[in-house]
Amino acid sequence: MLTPNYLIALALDAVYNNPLSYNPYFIAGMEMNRYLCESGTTKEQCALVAVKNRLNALLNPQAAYSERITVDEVLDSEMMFYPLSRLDMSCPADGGIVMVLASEEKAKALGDTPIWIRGIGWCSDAPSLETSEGVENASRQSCSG
Amino acid sequence: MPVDKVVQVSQTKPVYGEILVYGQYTFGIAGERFFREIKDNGRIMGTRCEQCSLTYVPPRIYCERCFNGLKEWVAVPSTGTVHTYTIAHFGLDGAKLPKPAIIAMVQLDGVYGGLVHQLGEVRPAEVKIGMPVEVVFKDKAERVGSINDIAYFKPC
Repeated sequence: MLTPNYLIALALDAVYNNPLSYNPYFIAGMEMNRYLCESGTTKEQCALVAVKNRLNALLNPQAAYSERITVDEVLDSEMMFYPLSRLDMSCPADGGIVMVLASEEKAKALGDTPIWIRGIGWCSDAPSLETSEGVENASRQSCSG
Repeated sequence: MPVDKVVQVSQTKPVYGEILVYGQYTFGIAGERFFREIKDNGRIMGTRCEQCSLTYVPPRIYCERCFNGLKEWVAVPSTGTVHTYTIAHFGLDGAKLPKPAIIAMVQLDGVYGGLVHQLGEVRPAEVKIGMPVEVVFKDKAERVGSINDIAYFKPC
C-alpha cells in the first residue's frame, strides 16, 4: 500500500539510503540523538518545545494541531524513533504562506503592525547525509554517549 | 495527431489513459566502483584527496574542498564508530515493527563521511554514541551490488 512515508523516502539518496527501506523519520531520530548528546539538552527540555508550540497554536483559530498538553504527556507518549516520541513530532500539514514584502515607507502606509525582517541567512548542506554537518563535526569532537 | 492549443478553459476535455511512471537510478561513476568492490571483494573503498587529506565514503569523483578530480581509490577500514543512532519502532509502511530496528550513522575510521545502516548482534539498550562497530557483509553469493550487501554493523 502506498503511504506518505514511501513518498518522503523518495527524497532520500536513491543509492545509499532509500534501498535500506527505513521509515524516513529515522533521520530525525538520529539527529535528535546526536543533538542531545552534543548539547546536553534533555528530553524534558525538548518536550517543553512541543508543549509551547501546541499552546501557541491555540492563539490561531486556523491552526490544525492546537492543544494543551503537559511535559509528562509528551514524555509518556509512544516511542517512535528513539529519542523521538509521538508528541515530539510535528504532524503532517498542507498549507501555503504568502508574504508581502515592501519598503519601510510602504509597509508603514499599508498597516499599523508591519513585521520587520531583522536578518536573512543562507546556507547549503552537504550532498549526502553521510557528510552532513553533524558527521563532519564528529571528526573534531568526540561525545561519550 | 496534431493538438490544437486550448485557449479557453471551457475547451478543455479529459483524455483517459495510463502513463507508465518508470524510473531507474544509476550508481554513478564512483558509486559503481564502490558497490562492485563490496560485491566482488567484500571491502569498502573510498576516494582520496591528498591535497586535503580526506578520504571520501561515500566516494566522490571531485573533492568538495578543492574541486580536484579524484582518481585515487583506497581501501578503508571495516571498522568505525556510531556517530549517532535511532531505534525505529515503525517501518516504512507506517506499521509498528515486530522488533525495533537500530539504525546508525557509522563513521568509518579515518574517513570523511560514513554509512547509514542497521546495527546487529546488539540490544537497543546497549547501543551508545561513540561505540566501536565493524561491518558485516552478506555472503558473497547473496551480494548483488547494493547497500544491502552490507548485512549490518556489529559491536567490536
